Amino acid sequence: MANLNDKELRNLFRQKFDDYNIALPDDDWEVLKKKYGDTQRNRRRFIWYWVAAASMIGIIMSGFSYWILTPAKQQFPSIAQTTCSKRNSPKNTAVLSASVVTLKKETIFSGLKQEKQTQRNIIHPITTADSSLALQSKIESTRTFSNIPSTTQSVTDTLSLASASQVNSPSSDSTYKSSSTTHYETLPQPTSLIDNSQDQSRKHTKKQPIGWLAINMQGSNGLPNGINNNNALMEPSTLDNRLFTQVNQNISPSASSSTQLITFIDKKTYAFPISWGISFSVPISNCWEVQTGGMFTQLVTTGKVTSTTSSSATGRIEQNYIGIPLNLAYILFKEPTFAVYGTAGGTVEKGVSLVEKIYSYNAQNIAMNSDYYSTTIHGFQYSLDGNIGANYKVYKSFSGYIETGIAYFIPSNQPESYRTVHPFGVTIKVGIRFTFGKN
Amino acid sequence: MQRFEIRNHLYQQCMYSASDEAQLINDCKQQVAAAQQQLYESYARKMMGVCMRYVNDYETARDLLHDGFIKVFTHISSFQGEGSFEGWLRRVFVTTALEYLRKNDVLRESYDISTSYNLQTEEETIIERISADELRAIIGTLPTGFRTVFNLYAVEGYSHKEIGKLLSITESTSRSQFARAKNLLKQKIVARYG
Repeated sequence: MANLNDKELRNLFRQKFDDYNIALPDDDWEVLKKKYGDTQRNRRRFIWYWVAAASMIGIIMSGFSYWILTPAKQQFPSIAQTTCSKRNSPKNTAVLSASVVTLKKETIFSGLKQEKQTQRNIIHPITTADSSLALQSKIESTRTFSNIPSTTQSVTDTLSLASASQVNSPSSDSTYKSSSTTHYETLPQPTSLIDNSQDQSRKHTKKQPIGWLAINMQGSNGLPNGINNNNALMEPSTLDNRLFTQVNQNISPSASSSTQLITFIDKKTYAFPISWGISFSVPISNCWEVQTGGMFTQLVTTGKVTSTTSSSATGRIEQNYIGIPLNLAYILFKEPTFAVYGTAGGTVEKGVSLVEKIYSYNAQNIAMNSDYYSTTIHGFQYSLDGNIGANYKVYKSFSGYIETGIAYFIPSNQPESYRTVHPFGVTIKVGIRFTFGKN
Repeated sequence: MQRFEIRNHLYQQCMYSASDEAQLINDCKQQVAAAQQQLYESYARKMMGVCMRYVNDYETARDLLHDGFIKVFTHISSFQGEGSFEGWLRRVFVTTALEYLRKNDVLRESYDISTSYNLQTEEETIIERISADELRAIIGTLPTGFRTVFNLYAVEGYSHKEIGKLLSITESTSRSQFARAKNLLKQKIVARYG
């Protein structure tokens, strides 16, 4: 009896299994097609995650890059800052009105910052003089600058407007009269004024923050909308429907044959939505800021269906959204360590995944079956919000802030969630900010 | 998009011939659904046979078959036309089966054999006589580790060195497992058909 060597053995088995095949069910291709479709959707979802994450990082990085690389003088119109920082002082009411006009002029001649700076030097004495002296000073200063070429006309225009506003101002003081007169006598020549203005501009730049970066957490408590969600009309895509289907599968055959006679107790809970985010602010003036960033929100809905036969099913839906908020903030009150501000704006959010897990139990509360369902969320969720917030400097560049307000989630054909049930909500946001530049 | 739809329609009208394999592969690379279905129909039963040799459970093998085809559809672009397509396909399914076995830690199963046997010409006659299904059933009764090494070496044609790399075992372990699998198989064949 000869032993088979490995080569002979291989040939023997290879020949035997060369065309070996096993029959498959008729619907096997359909099952595979569905599995492949799910896999493709999951891949697309992950691509969405990456795209959304990359977009957020890109926006944040480009925003800060722009802010850091842009020369500070372009970021902060010096006059606007001066006026905004002093606007809460009653004595400077006229300064504010004059500056507003000046700012408009400054926009027209945006390329000529040096001349603009001279405006501030001149406006100051005008605001502290009485109306007649103001008119005189207007004439004086017009003469002083009569030899300034080209766009210097804006300065004289500004002075006229500033003076006009000052005429209506009741504030006047003899002390200021004398000081303003002295000031005019020593009014420097235009060239030295330009140099001086540059120095002052630098001083202002050093004192100003150039924006902040924050991490925050936000919650939203929806206002009742009067819709009773328990035992709501079941649409095929709803959690209720799938829970009911699951329970029906587990109840006894005799009972399932008369499903219509079985009553169900349906409980559904929408978890309080929490968002996490990173945001940054770009000041557009001393009073106004543009705030944007990125946020992640998870919306969780849980449901329970119980039949009269005591079999039950519980389900949990998790919806994950990534969004980009865009808000305009106005600083209402500002002190070195404390600020109060209002914001208004909106958020665009993209649902990146919806995961549903259903567990069914028999009458003895023993787990019978579980089902896992995952899909993508189409479309975008748009929302509008308005908030009021306070910021408190805790340590050096770090400050804590809290914002509260209202938000409206515009119906955007999104899957059922806390937001679709409570489109109006009161929001509260807390976070920590790191301010760039000096406060 | 429209081009693919037209092509899909055409493929539903007429099946690929054996000489169209290159076209079939190209269309699968472009994710043409009809071509994917055609590929499935051409190879599914055969690949199911491959999967069954490794897991010996119909439903598990079917899951592996689906996983394997999903891999094929997703990564078919990595097939550069070198060697036979069926060989490439078979490697995908074998790898899928091995991943499953590793994941479920069934390769660690041990089986103690005290006596040693060699397959002899009598067994060869028996093997030639019995059907592939019966032979597969006997192989399926081997412990998973033995079965895997036996399939890889005797049927797929891998060397012990390659098997060692695939299963993260040493070459000598692979040889030893194969020898033991062969002996056990002889015992079973003789007991059933001898």
